[in-house]
Amino acid sequence: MKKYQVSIIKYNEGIKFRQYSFYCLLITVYCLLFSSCEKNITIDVPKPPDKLVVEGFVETGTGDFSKPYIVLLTKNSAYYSTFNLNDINTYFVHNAVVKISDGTDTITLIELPFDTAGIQISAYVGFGMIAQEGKTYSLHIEADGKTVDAVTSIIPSIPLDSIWVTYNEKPDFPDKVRLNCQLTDPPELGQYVRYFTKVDTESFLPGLSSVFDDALINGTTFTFPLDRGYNRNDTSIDFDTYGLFNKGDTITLKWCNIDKSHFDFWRTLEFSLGSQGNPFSSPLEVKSNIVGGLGIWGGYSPSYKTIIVPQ
Amino acid sequence: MKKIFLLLSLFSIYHSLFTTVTAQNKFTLSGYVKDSVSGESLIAASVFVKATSQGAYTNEYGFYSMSLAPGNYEIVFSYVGYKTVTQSIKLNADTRVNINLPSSANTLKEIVVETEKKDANVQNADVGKYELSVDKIKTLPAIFGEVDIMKIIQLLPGVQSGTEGTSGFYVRGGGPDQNLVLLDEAVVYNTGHLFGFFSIFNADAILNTTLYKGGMPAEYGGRISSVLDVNMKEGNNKSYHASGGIGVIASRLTLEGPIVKNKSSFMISGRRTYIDVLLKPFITKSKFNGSGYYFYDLNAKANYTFSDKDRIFASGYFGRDVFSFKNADLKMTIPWGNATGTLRWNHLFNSKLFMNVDAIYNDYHFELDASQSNFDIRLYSGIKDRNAKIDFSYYPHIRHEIKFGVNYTYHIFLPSSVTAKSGDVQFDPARIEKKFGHESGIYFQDKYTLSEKIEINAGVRVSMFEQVGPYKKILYGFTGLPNDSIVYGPGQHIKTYYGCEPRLILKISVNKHSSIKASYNFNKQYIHLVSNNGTTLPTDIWVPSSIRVKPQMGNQYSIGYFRNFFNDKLETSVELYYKTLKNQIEFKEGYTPSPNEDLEESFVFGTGDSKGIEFYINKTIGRFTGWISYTLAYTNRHFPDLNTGVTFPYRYDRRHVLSVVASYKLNDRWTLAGTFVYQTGIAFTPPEGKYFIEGNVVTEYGSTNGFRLKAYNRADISLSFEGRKRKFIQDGWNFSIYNFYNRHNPYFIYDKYDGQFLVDPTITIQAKQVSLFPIIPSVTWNFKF
Repeated sequence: MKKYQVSIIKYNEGIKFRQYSFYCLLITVYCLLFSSCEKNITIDVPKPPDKLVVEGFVETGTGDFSKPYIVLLTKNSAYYSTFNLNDINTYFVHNAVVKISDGTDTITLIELPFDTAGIQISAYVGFGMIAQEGKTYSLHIEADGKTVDAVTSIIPSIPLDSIWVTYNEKPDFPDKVRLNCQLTDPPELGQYVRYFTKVDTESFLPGLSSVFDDALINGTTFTFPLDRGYNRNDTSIDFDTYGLFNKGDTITLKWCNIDKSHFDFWRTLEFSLGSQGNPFSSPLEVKSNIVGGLGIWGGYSPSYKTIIVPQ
Repeated sequence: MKKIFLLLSLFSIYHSLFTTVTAQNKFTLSGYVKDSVSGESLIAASVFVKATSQGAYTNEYGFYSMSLAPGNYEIVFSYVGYKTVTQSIKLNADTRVNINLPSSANTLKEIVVETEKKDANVQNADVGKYELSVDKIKTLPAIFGEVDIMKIIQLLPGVQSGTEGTSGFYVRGGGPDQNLVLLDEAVVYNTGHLFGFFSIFNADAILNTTLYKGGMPAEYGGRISSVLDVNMKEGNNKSYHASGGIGVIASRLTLEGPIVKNKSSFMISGRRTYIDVLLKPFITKSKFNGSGYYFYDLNAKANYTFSDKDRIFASGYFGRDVFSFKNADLKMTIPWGNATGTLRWNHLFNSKLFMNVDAIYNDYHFELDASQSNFDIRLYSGIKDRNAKIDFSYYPHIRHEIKFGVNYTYHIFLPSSVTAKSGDVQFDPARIEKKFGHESGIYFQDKYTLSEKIEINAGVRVSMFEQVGPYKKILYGFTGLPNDSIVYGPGQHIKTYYGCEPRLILKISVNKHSSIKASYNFNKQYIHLVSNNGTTLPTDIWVPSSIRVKPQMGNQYSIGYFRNFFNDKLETSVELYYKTLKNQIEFKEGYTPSPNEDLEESFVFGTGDSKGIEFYINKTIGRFTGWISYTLAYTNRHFPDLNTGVTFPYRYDRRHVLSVVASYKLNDRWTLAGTFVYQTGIAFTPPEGKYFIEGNVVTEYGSTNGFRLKAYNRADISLSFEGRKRKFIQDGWNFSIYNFYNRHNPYFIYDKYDGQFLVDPTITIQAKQVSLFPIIPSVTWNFKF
């Protein structure tokens, strides 16, 4: 039974695998056969209309895990323009009116400067309204003469049954371990999940393919391996040990149930990032739930599991 | 069966109509036209009464028939590349005249596009029809020396290629799935090897190729843009021969000969690439030992002539591409390809009525097998057809050439499916849904010479498609999630579509050297190719029409002026066309592939239109031959659910396409040839804006196909040498240079990112244009025993 369920996930991976392996194959064949040649070109596309980009989350949690409402508000820019860290503040939208409502209460967020790795950015932060499962939260923003709105729901959390690690997945890398989970999916179809992992005291990072739905495994109890989360910009990801953890790691898994539009956002975003630079893919517009803008307004109801892998 | 009766009764009514009209005494002259050396049937050879426009052309089996008043006639039999034979015939009874035309191999050959009768292009009631003979394209330049009929077809007016080097073709704004490609009457669903760089047609095994880009005869159906009808060689029925060639990346060998002399012959031809063999030494040392790629083709055909009235043929094609990849922990093989089989029976009821019966099987299969440690996965998709048809040619009167018949196909569609095995546990997801369909057609057409000046080619095809079970239709609730399903049993009716497809061509001669031709076509297409890629790949999937997916429909209007100069040495034409397409399919916005889904739930539907003007100048006679074609066209698509409902250009909307093909026979043995192509760049959807989410650069796209790659242009040259005829062997060389001025044409564009968000001081995005083929010289040695 267990093996069978592992297959489902592997089989999910198989689909992606088919897509990517075929592209890799194509490109390999081209490179092997033909001495292709490339050069820099300039594409003179018009600058898109200015839009507000929202990256805002509402998350349940208490104690150490309690979180304020955080909304990052930025602007889009011309695609081929150079991004300069010194001008980072020009990307952030200041003096915006940001309001969140749970249908009864409304709070107004305040703009605060933040220090991220020595760089000053600004975020809108709100307190004083407790995020609760089963509630719907609407976001309303007015800035730079534009108005955007969005709605998200916090889906009741369905925690994992258990997590554990398996050893010797790759004989060449005896120090690596794989994280495995078991979940009991409820009978109703339409569960969506996003997960993050954290090693020791690092921050939580989403998997490169961080969202799932229950289309294939609906209503079953199943076990599956889960890849380690990464910073996608990290160029040092090793293909041979991708997705694995190390002996001695303290692994914390953050498992969040999300709603459909939140799921669609990450599904399309991750697919689009995954096919970046692939000449054979079709352009995929990321599906946003922000009316009048871009980005995401998402609700999370996380549950956490921690495992300490012995040395 | 009912249809056949209906057809026969229709026919008998029509026939009795004729017998009254044509009651005056007439006799029928009929027979076969063949190659005098090999005994191969000559297709579309002309048989004409000297000094008149009365006459006929041979059909696909080399048969002709015409009825004339009694008298003495000088009949001229002619065919490109052959000596013309004139025969005096005293017609006072139905007469059978079989003619063997001697090849004019040692005289100057006319090249490439055939002119059966010198003014046929002007005087025929055919529009948008081109015939290519393989013999004549062998002297033209070819990439890697691989002669490819598809690459030549792309040079004709109104036809264009996809991305660089691929052998797919797009006709008058139509999609790649809208071309009916037939190999000995079997449908070929994927015509490319190596991602389309080479076509599956091994030139050595091909006798004749006909393309219809407009004015599609009613005998063909099921596609809305064009028909490419390819015939395999029959084989020499007089003596044994071997021929072949050794090229840079592939070699070929063909054997042919009589089984029973003059009655029966066979032809078998094979081709295989050896890139894998050449690369092996490099790969063996790397960690990818065991990886490789090759493709091969096999063509075989045999026929038996029982009598003048009966002949049977069996022919088949089998081709595979195989890619294998191996590293330390992953093993993968990807085989894909087509198989076709055709059984035919030709029967002559009498000198006026010819029948052809076919039983056809074809199969396209794509597969990916991968294994990693203890886990095996197999992904596959494909389509299989079983097809039967009966076609009649009826020649009641010299003014009429009638064709009618029925066609039936049983389709089995296998969408993308997966099975997996983990250790000894087999995993077969229940949602693999094959789809099944019955497709049928019945047609009637008459090519009618109304007067010396006016000729009408009118036809009608009634087509039908029925989706049948077993099938499980998933129903979706208002949340977009499946909440119910309907189960259909095997053979159970699900949905039927049918339609009446009129076809009409009108030719009016202005004088002996010029004419005006107008045509109208309405076609329905019940199967669709869907692709989530910018280009066609072997992974693309064919789907049937169903409850949700309606058949594609195409309307085409064209009018052209045809004029010959210098005693028919120079043929010219100008054609205008307008085409509308309905029920076109694309994936909906935000579609990402997921396992074993029912693809049709992810489709959106729209329309298309294309209009253009095509200029064509063709010189077929003399030392210097070739053509120039220029097309100006506008092609758009409109989908309410894509590009915010705004009409957008089709990906292969190319404003200007210019092709030049020239060949010059230096002397009996040396031929110099060249081609030149200029095309407006293909359209793509440009990235317009960017924004950041979780530190990742996310792309915001502009309007669909709103931007264009740079224009494409390229010239190729070749020099062919034909060796002296020795006792046993004749050989020849072909030296080709592809892209000889080394133009770096855009193949694709990708964006290179430099910098990491919030770490590096700057992030730049640089667009890079990748070019595929630089200058490529090649040499091929050909031989014949």
